Amino acid sequence: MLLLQTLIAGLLLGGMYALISMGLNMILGVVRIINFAHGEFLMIAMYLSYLFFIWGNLDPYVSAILIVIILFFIGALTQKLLIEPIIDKPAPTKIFATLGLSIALQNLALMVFDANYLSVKTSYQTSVVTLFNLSISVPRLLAFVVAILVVIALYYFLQKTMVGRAIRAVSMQRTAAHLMGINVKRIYMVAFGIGTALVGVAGSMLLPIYSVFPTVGASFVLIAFVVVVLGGMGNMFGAFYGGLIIGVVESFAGVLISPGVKEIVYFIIFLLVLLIKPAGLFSKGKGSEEVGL
Amino acid sequence: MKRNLKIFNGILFVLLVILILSPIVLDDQFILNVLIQILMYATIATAWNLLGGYAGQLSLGHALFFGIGAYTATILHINYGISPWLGMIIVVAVCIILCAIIGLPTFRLKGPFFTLATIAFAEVARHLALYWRELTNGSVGINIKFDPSFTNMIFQKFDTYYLLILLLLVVTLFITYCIDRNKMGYYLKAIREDEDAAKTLGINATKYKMYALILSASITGIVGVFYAQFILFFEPESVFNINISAQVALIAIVGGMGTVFGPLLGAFIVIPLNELLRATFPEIHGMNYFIYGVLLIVIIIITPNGLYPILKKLWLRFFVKDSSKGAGN
Amino acid sequence: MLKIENVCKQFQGVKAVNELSFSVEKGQIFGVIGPNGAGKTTLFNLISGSFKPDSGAIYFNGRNSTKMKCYTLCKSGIGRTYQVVKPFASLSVLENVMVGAFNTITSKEDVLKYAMSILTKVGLQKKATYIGSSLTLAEKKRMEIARALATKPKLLLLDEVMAGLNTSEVKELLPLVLTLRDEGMTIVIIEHIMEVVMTICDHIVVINYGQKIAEGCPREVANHPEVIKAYFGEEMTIA
Repeated sequence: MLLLQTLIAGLLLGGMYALISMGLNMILGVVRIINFAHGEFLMIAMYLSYLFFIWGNLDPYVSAILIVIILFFIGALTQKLLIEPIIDKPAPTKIFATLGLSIALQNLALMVFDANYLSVKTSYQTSVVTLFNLSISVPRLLAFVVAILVVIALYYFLQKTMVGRAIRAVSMQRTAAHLMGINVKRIYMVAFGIGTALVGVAGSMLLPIYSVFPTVGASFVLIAFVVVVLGGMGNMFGAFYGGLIIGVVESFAGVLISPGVKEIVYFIIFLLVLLIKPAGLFSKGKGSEEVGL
Repeated sequence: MKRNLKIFNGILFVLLVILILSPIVLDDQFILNVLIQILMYATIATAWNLLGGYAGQLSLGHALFFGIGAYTATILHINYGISPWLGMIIVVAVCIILCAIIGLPTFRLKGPFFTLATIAFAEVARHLALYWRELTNGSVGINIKFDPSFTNMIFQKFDTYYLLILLLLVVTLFITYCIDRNKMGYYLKAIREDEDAAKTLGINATKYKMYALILSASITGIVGVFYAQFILFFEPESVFNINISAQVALIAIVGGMGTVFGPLLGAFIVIPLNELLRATFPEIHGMNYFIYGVLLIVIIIITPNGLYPILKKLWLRFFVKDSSKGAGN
Repeated sequence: MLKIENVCKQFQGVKAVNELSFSVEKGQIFGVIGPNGAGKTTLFNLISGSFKPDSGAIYFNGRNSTKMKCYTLCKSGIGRTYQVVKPFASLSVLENVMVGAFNTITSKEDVLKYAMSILTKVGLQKKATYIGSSLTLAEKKRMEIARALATKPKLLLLDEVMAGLNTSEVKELLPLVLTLRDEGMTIVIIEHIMEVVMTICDHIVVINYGQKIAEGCPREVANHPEVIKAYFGEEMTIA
C-alpha cells in the first residue's frame, strides 16, 4: 500500500515536471537553445499567480488563463529581443545570454519580493480525495489532470494545425523549412512563446501546492534538464514520460532512502543517461549532434 | 605590433607592482579584504579560463573543485591534524582523480551538454555535502578554530593572506602566459575552434582537454583551501554554490576569455562593482546580482570577447599612432 | 603507400562505402571521382581515421592503420583538407598554419619560420595576420592546404579543394598541387570538376554507391561505359 501511495505521489509530481520539461524541450527542439532562464519564467508565473490572488482575489486556477497568455508574450519577446540577435553566435554567447537573464530575473524577484516564501490560502488546499484507501491531494490531482490535458492539446496542435506542422518542420530541418516559405523567425517566437506558456500552466498549478520564492525556478529547472536529457533532447513526448519517471524516482528515493538524497539520485540518473545514451531513453537518434548544438 | 603589445603588458605589470605595494602602505583592513577577494576570484577565473577560454569547454561547475578544496583540507586538518599546506597537495591529487572521472566521459559531450554535466557534478557534490553529516557537518557548516600559526595557514593579519593569494595568482598567470605562448595554447585554441580539424592536425584532443581541466581544477581546489583558512567558516551553500561557478565564468567573460590577463581585468571590474553595489544599496537584496545578470547579457551581446581586446585596441589606437594597419578583423 | 582492402562502412543501413579496394603508389596524384553521395568523403574520413570501417583493412606505409586514431595517423604522415572548410575562425592565418606545424616541430621560433615558409609556398604570405574567418573561400581552401602541409605529410588528402572556386582561382591552385607531387608527396584528390581530374591525375578510381566501378589512367576511365552511365545516365550511352 505504501508503495502504491508512493507511486501515485510520484506520478502526480511527475505531471508537473513533465509540463515544465516539455516547455524547455520545445524551445530546445525548435530554437536549438538551452534556456537557462526557463526556471525563472516558472518563478514569474508563480509570482503573477500570487499577485492576482492577493490583489484581484482571483483563484490560481482562474488566473491561469491570463498567466498563460502573459507568459506566452514574455517568451515570444525573449526570443525576439534576446535570442534572435545571437542565434548564429557561438555556443558560449548563447549559454551566457540566457544564464545572464536567469541571474537577472532571479535577483529582480529578490529585490521586489525579498527572500520570503509566499503562498496562497485556498479552501481546497488541504482537501484530499480517498480512492481505494489511497488518499490523494486534490490540488495535486488537479495539477496532474491539467498536465495531461495540456499534453493532449499540444499533441493535436502539433499534428493537426498549420502552425503546429510548421513548428515540427522547423525543428526537423530549419534550412529546408525556410526554403519552403515558412517564416522561421516567427516560428521561433511562437515556439518560445508556447514553451514559456507551458511553465505558465505549471506555475499556476503549483502555487496552491508550493510556496513561491526567488529561487523556486532554479530547483525545478535543474530537474527539467534531467528530464529533457532522459526523454531525449527535442523529443516533446519523451519529456512527458521522462517527467513522470523522475517524479516516481524522486518519490521512491524520498520514501525508501531519505528525502535528502532525492537530488543526488536524479542527478546521478542525469549523468548516467547523458554519458551512456546521450540521445535519451525514448529516441533512436544520435543526441546532441542530431539536435545540432 | 608585437612590441606595442609588450608595452601594453608592461603597463599591466607596473599596475601589478603598485598593487603589491599598496596594502603595505595603506594598511586598511577593508581594502585588504576586498583585494583578497579580488585576487581570489582573479585566480579562479584565470584557472577557469584555461579550460573555458582556451579549450572552449565551458564549465559552470567550478564550485565543485572550490568546495572540494575547502572541505578536503579542512577535514584532514581538523580530524587528522594534517597541515593545510600538505592538504593542498592532497587536494590536487583528489582533483586529478575527479577530473579523470568527470573528463573522460563528459569530453564527448558538445557545447551546452558539457556545461550541463558540470552543473550536475557540482550539484551532486553540494547535496552530498549537505547529506553526509558525519563527515561534513551538513548544513551547519564547519568552523575552524582561530589558532594563528604558519602550519595551520591561519594568520593574525590580512597582509599575509594577501601576499599568499597574490603569489598564487602570479603563479597561475605565469602558467597561463607560458601556455598561451607555446604549443599547448595553440592546440587548446584549435580544439576550441574546431575539434575535428584539430584532430586531423595531429592533436590528441582528449589529452589536451584533460591537461587543461586538471590544471584548472587543481588551481581552483588550492584557492578553496586558501578560502577556508581565510574565512574560517563555510558550509555547502557557501562553497558548492552554483553562483560561485557562474561568477567565475562571468569574470572571465567580462574581462576576456582566451586571453592571459582578461580574467584579472574582469575580477578588478566585477568584484569592486559587487562591493560597491552592496555598500550603496545595503537594503535591497539581490541588486548586485541583478546588475551582474544584466551586465552579462549586455557584454555577451556587444562584445563576446570581453573588455580586454577593446582596451588593447584603444591602447593601440591612442598610444601607438604608427601601428601597422590592415591587420584584418 | 596506401592500400584499401574490402573496406565497408554503413550509416543506419545505408552502405556509404561497400567492399572498396584500391592502392595508391608513392608519388602519384591519385583521383577519386564519382557522383554526389557516392561515398568519397566517407572514404577520406576512413583513411584519415575520423571514422572506423565496419570491415576491411587500410594499410598506410605498409602498416595496418585501420584502427589508428586521427591524430596518430597525422603523426605518421597523413594530412587532409575538408570539403566544407574548417578554419580556426578566430586565429590568424599564420596561427592556423602554426597549429599544423607543431605536429613535428617543438621550438616556437622554428614553427613560426616553417609556417611562414608554407604560407609563402601557397601564396598566402600577405594574409598572414588576417583572421581565419575573414578570408575568401579560395583563400580558406589554400589555408587548409597550408595547414595540412605544415604537419609534413607523406600522403595528402585533398577533398574537393577546387569546388566553389572560379576558373582563374582553379588555374592558380593547380600548379601548387603539381609542385607538391614533384617534391615527392603522394596526393589523393577528390574532385568534381572532370577537367581538373583529367589533367593532373596519374591514376583514377571511380566510385558510385560506395563501390568501385572503374579504375585506370584518365583516358581509360573517361571512356569506360560504367563511368559514362554513372555520370550521364543510361540514355546517354545509347545515344
